[in-house]
Amino acid sequence: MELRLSSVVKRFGGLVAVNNVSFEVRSNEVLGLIGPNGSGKTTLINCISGFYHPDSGKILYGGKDITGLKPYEICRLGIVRTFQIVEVFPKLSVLENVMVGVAFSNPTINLNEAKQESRKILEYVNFPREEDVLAKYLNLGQMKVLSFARALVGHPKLLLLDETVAGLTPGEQTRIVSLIEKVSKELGITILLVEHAIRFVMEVCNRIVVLQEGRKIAEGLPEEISKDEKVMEAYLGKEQLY
Amino acid sequence: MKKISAARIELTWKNVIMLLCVALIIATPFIVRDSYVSHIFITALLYGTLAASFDFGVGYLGIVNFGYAAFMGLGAYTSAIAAISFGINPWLGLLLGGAVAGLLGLATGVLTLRLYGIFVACFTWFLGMALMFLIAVTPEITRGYLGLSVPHFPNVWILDFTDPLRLSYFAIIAILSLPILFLMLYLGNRTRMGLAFRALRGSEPAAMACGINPLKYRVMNFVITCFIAGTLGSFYAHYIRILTPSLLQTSKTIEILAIAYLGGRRSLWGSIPAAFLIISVLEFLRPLEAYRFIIYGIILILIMIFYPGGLARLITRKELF
Repeated sequence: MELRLSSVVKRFGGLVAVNNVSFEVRSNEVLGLIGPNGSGKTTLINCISGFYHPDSGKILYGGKDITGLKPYEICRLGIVRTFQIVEVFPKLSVLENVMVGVAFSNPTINLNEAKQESRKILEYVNFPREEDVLAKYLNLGQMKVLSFARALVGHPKLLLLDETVAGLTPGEQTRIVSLIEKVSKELGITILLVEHAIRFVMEVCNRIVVLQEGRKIAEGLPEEISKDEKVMEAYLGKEQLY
Repeated sequence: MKKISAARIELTWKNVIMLLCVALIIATPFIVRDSYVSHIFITALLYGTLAASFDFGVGYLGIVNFGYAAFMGLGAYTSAIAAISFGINPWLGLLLGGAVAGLLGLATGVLTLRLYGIFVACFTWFLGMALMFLIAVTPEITRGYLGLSVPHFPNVWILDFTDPLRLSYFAIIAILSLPILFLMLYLGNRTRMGLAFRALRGSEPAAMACGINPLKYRVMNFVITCFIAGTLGSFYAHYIRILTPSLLQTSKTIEILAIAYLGGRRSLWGSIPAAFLIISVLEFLRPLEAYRFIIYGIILILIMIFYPGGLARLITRKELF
């Protein structure tokens, strides 16, 4: 199912954070949303996931108008987002972290079944540590994998990933890259990726949309974007994007 | 190699000590030869369990019930009045006291557990005081400050409740407190409800994002702790056999809180050794008369500074039970 944004506008007082942005995310593709700080990427994600209500414009998912729905309603439609600041349950174990998601998205499931389901998810993402480690002892990269695993609970169809690789080492980034590719190919999940790390985006995305100061300034394949002059200007000081 | 891991049942220091404590409790009737000592044991076990139950709210959900003693007192008066005025068997009174306290917990919980932190503490504090004064100003029913005389448990089987050593009472409190403790531990760590509690404690927004309704689980937790307080209060009524409104006063809640904190928040079981410790120390210092409270206060402060995790963390390094 595709996600289509039409002329979305979001203002905060006098500041226009998102200014008439339109694009679509095709079914099963991985779309990257990039731009300098303050270009409106996270605001746009918040609009799509229901945390903000756009001032004008429409957001359609599979043809259905989802503009202005509440976050938990959007969640029920199969759209899941992750957050820049990772929210895990620090004093619960890795397994229990996922179990919370499983046990409470499905009210009839009992704890043992939730445990099995959680184990399957952790195995699927190849979680690098034992399942009974407390989440507060994980490093940032592992926490991000954990929150990715939690996002997969409930079998979402569209994933909104907000700055997933911020703060990760190249090795950890590679792991996330392979996770995203795996999830996209094997589970057919559509992914909209908000990012700063351009190399990561070039590697993983099928197409890229570039924002600057709330406006869309470019859209296209990675190779096209990397040669686009407007984009290079926006990222001042970068002579090359690689 | 010390593995940092979550709850499991295995051979650890903590489990060994717990087993020893259980064994000690079972052996007590054969050791105790003095009604003064048996009173200490009974009171310690009672308040230890009360503190553990208090901790079920504080440690698992951060709900500080500052009127906790009043719920206990409510259970006590309920069972007492039921026995005196309606001839209800004290054994049934245990359940009745728990039920009444639990119902009050439900009513107030639904209304006020949307609040957080200090506001819950304030509200429950006022509620406790209101209950205490309510009992004081209705002497027609409760005999207020004149004191209400309560019948003892009816003798059953080999248990003789007129025995001055009060060993039968000790048996009853042991039979009550150990299952209550294990029940709370089970609910808190092995049920879906307990998972919700711990998730809410960790990060409420994340828990909500997973579909957990905070109010529902806060109320469930609160009702459980109030029910337990009521039941234990009923026991206390038929044990001490004289009730006054001062049973419900805030300072009693603070004693319970001190035991819970000394035992280690979130540990539940730590409250039992903590209760024995505090009550023994207080009794031991009795020759110092009023000064003993100063010593007690200093000891408490020192422990909170140097061992903030309480007794439970001294014995085990595990974060969770």
